[in-house]
Amino acid sequence: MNPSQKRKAVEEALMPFIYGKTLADALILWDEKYAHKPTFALQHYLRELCSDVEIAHMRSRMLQALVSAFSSLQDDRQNRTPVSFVNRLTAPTTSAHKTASSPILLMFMNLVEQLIEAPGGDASTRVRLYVLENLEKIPLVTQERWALQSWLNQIVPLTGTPPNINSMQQVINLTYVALCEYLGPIKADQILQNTVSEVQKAHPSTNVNSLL
Amino acid sequence: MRLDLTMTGILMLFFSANTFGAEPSIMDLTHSLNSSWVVITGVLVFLMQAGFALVESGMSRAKNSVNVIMKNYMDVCVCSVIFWAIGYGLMFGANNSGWFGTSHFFPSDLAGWDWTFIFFQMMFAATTTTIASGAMAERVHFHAYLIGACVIAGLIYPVFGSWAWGSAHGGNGWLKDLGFIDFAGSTVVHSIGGWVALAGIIVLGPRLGRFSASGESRTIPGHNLSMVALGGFILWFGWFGFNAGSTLAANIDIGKIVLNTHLAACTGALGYMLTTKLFKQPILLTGTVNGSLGGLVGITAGCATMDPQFALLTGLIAGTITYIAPKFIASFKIDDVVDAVSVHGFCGAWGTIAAGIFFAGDLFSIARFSIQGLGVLVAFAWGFGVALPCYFLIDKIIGMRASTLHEQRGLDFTEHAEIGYPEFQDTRALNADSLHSQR
Repeated sequence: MNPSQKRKAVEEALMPFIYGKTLADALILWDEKYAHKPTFALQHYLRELCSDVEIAHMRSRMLQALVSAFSSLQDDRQNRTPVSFVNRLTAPTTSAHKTASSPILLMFMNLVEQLIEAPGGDASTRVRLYVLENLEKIPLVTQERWALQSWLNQIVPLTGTPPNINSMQQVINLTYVALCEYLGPIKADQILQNTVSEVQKAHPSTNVNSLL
Repeated sequence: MRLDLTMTGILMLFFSANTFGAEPSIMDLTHSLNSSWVVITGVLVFLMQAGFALVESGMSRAKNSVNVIMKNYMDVCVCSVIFWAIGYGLMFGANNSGWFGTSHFFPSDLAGWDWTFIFFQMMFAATTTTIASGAMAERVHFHAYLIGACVIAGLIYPVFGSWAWGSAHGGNGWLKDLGFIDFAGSTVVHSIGGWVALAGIIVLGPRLGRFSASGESRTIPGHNLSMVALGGFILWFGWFGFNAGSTLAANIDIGKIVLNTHLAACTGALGYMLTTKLFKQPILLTGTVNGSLGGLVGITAGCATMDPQFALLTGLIAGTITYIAPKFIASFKIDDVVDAVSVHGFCGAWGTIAAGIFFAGDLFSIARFSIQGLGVLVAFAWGFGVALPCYFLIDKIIGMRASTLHEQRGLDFTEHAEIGYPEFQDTRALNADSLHSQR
């Protein structure tokens, strides 16, 4: 997603709620502070935007609209891409990533991506945003955090030395918590069980349970 | 003829201690019978622990079933020791002030009847503590829970008990002096347990995803409803001992007490069922079991002082409460896994009020109602008021709440390194290597 696409998405998403000078101010705020930030900054943008009490009550609906708009952009992008991001990371033929990433890291990325994508549609975007927003609660070194944020924002895949096993477990747990929050614990458990099975099939040589 | 021989054999065994000594007097026989009766009913109350374990475990998810049963199991062990050491003295020791007992701590030199009495009361203390277990299921640290149980058995339960039931060794509790009636413990045992549970679940917070961001309540079904039903039956069975044993004597009153107990349990389930029909909702097994338990809790205070038609009514209203109260509690985003606060707290409060207004021979007495109401309020203030800071402190010092990672894995795995159903439980999302390395 390039900045102009993002700006257009923000404008279209906010138009049903605000107009005129308020909308113009909102776009100025976007341009000045958030246009070049990763997608997870949407929550922060909205928090700042809705500090005005007149529109505060619409915050959750505005977030939904923004998330939908960004999801549509993302779907368009994925449709245009011949091989999806996750497949590129995990497909046996993509040797560049395979050599760059350890098997455990590939499995980790596959597991988290599948967990995030499992609900589908807006729910997946919300889960992704939740994980991104709460990543700061996990004790990580700055570089690791940046790498994870970039990867979760679908900008740069994780490569090189994987984060330690505890960090990976916590990221997976964060995704599970997000699934519980948005879909409920029963559905979250089902998704986790099914995803673990699928990922294990895709990576038979590595024990997926070590990440749980 | 065969029956006569059997009865003779039982009586010979029963009084064997006396057959080698002097001829037993009527008084000796009465004491023996009373003691035997109270011990047997105490054993029935102990069996209620199994009932609680089955109900609570059945209403929890499979990944937490062992943890729930472990809490129930250790409850009895920890609380019995604490109650013997401290609780009994606080509750039944000499109580000249009316506020708490001051003698008979670590009792070791007592008369014959006192041992019976301690054993029976010990089972009641264990019942109070185990009520909180179900409410806090699936997200509490095992050790933190047990520390909380010690506080209940060693302080919260016996102090309130001394007000309402004390003392066995001189003096009276202040509530008892006012004329407060709570025959077998609707308030002393059940409401106190319920209010403590309420404090615990407020400190703990709800399970992951129990409430959506918009506040919608999500049902998290238990893993085994057959266990819930069996647990309900066992609790019902044990309750006959709970209520009838509270006579502390094998006398003629027992019949009416068990009849009232049974009728209230029946109408409790019926009350729940009728309410669900009224609201056009399905009749759930878990709700039905809780309905009968609500009836049992409700009748516990007045089972000896109420006529059967009022026992029916008490149970019926308690059953209705078990339908309405959980929704009320959930509206505050408070997560009570087994609806213990509703069944024990609210139904106990109702039962205590009912014992006053349906008192045989003095129906609808304002004076009795006022004293009963005072007792209910004091129980809430004491039980909730003390438990809340205690749980808060435990949370701050050692942590009450299991981590989200533990909730994901299940407390069977993280707290006990065991799995309830290893042969068919889906363990794909568990780290099996870690499980084995912990053992």
